[in-house]
Amino acid sequence: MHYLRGKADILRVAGRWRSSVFENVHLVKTFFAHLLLALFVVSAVLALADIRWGERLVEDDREGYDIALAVDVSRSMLASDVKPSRLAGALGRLKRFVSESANTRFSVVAFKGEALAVLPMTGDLQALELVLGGLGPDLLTSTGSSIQKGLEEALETFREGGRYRAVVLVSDGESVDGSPRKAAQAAADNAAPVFSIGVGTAEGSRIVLDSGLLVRDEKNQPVTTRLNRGALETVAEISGGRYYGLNDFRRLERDLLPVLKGAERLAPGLRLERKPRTGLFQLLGLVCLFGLLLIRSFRWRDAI
Amino acid sequence: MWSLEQPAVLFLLLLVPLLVYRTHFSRNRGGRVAFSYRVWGSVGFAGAGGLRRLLYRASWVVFWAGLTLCIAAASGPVMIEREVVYLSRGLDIMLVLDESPSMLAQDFKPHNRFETAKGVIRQFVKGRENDQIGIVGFSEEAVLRVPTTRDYSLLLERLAAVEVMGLGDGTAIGMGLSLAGLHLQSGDTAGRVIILLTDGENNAGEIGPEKAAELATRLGIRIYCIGIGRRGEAYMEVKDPETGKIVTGKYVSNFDEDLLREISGLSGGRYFHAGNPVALSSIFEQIDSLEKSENRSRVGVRRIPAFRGLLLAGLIMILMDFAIRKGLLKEPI
Repeated sequence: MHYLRGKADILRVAGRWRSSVFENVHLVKTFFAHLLLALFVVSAVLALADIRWGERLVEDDREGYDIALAVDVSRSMLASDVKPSRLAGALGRLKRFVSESANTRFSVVAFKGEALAVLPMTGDLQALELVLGGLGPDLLTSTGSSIQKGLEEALETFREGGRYRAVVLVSDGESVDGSPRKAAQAAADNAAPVFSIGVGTAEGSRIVLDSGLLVRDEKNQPVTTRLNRGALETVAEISGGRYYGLNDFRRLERDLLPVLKGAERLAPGLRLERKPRTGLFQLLGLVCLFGLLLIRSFRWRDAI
Repeated sequence: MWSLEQPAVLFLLLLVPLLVYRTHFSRNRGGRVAFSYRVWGSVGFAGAGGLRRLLYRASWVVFWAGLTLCIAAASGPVMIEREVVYLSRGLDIMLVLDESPSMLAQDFKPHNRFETAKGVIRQFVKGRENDQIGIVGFSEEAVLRVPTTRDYSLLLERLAAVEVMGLGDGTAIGMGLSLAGLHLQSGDTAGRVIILLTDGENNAGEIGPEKAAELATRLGIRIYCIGIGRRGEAYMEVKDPETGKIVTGKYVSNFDEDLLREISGLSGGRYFHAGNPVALSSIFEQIDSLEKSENRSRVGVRRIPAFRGLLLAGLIMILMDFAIRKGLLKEPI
C-alpha cells in the first residue's frame, strides 16, 4: 500500500497511540524532501544562468574584426532629447567610429518590429557611410521595436570564422517586443558580445515628425518617449558585452578591442577565459534529484 | 554535428530503469504499516479512484521524464560547427554590369544577354572562396548594388533581383568604372579587380571611360573587359517598366572594342569578346584562373552548448510533478 494522504491519514490508519513513531519519520522525510527539491531548483536555475569563476587558457588565434551595427529605426528614435534627433545623433557618432576603425569590416542591420540587413559584412567604407546616412523609420513598415529580431539578423551577417565578432546595438530601449534575452544568449553562443548604446534621456521628450506634427497615442495625447536602459543592459550583460550611454561613445571605442581580445592576451594564440561552472551546478542538481527519489521510493523503516 | 562533453554522466541513465523497477514493480516496494484489520470492520481497502490513479501515474511519468532530461543535459551536449578559416587575404572583385536595354537582346539563348550573364556570374561567384565580391550596375547612371563582401548568399540574392532598365537607357561605362574604383579603395586586400561586362558604346555620364580607367589603374586595379553580344542585328523584347507594355524590335549591336582593349591593356587586365553563352562561360573561367590567389586556410571548430533546452524542460517536468502531487493529490512530499 502506498501513502496517499498526509500525517492525518497515517494516524487514522495506524492508530493515534503509535503516533510518535510515525511523526518522526514523516517529519524528517517531509523536511528533507522539500529541502532537496528547493536545492534542485536553485541548482538548475544557477546552471542555466551560466555562472563563471576562475580562469582557464583557451586557444584563440583570431585576427581582424567583424562588427555588426544593429540600429533601431523605430519612430521613437526621432525624438529630440538628443540633438538633432536620437537617430541622427547616433548615426553621426557611428560614422566617425566606422571611419576611424582599421582592419575592421562592418555590416548594418536596421530594425523596428522586423529587421532588415541593409548592408552585408564589408570593408567598403564608402558604402558604409552612404548606408548610415540613409537610415530612417521609412526603411521598414513594421511597428514596435524588436531588439530580438535586430540582434538575430545582425548575427546572420557574420559569415567568416577566424575573426573577432561584436555587435553594436543602438536603441532607446522603448517598447521592446520579443525576447531580447534569447537573442543575447545566441550572441554569447556565437562569441559575439553585444555592446549596447542607449540613446535618449530618462526625462524623455516628444516626437516631432517631419511634417511638424506631434506623435499622439490612442487618446490623442502627445506621446513622451524615454530611454529605457533595462533591456539594453541585460542584453549586454548576458552576451559578455557592455552598456554605454551615447555620450560615453568614446569609452566604447576605447574598450571594444580589449574586451574582444580578452583583458590579457598572454601569448599569440592564447587567452584567458572565465571558467564556466554549469557542470558543477547540474551535477549538484542531479544529486538532489536522486536524493528526492530515495526519500520517496524507499522505506526508511521496515515495518511500522 | 553533435557531441557530448561529459559522456560519462550518461551512465547514470543506467540507474533509471533500476530505480523505476524498484519504485514501481519490485515486490518490496512502498511503505508498510501494520495495523489491526478489525479496525476497519473487516472490509478491505479499495484502490484509488480512476482520476487519482491517473494523476498519480502521470506524476511519476513526468518525474522520470524530468530526471532523464536532467541527466541528458548534464552530459553536456554541444553542437560542433566546422568552418574554414582563411589565413591569407583574398581579392576584392567588383563586377560592373551593363543594365542598359540592349542587354535584353535575345541572341544569347535561352533567355537574353542579361539573364545569361547573371547565370554565368552566379557560377563564377560560387567558384570563388575568400574573395570579397561586389556588384556595380550602370546604364545611364551607375549605382552600387552590393558592396564587396564575403556574404555570397546575399550577393546572389541581390544579383537575382537586378533588372534591366532600372537605371535609364544610356550606357555610361565611365560612370560604372569610376564608381567601382571608388568602392574598391578601402581595406587591405591581396589585389583589386574590376570585371566590366558591356554590350555598348559609352554614350552617357560625366566621366569618360578612359579617365575612369586611368584613375583605377593608379589605384592598382586590374580591369577585365568583356564585350558581350554578336555584331549586327539582334532581336529583343523590352517591357516598359512604367506602362508594362512589351515592345519588340531589332537592335544593332555594337561595342567599342578598341576602347575596351585599351582600358584592359593599360591596367594589366585582358579584353575578351563573348559572342555566345558558351564563350561567356569560358571567359569567366579564364578570369577565374588568371586571378587565383593563394589561399592558406585551416579548419576552425566552434562549440555551441545545447544543454539549456533540456535542462529547462527537465526543471519544468520536476516542478509539474511536484505541483500534481502537492496540489492535486495532496501528498505530503
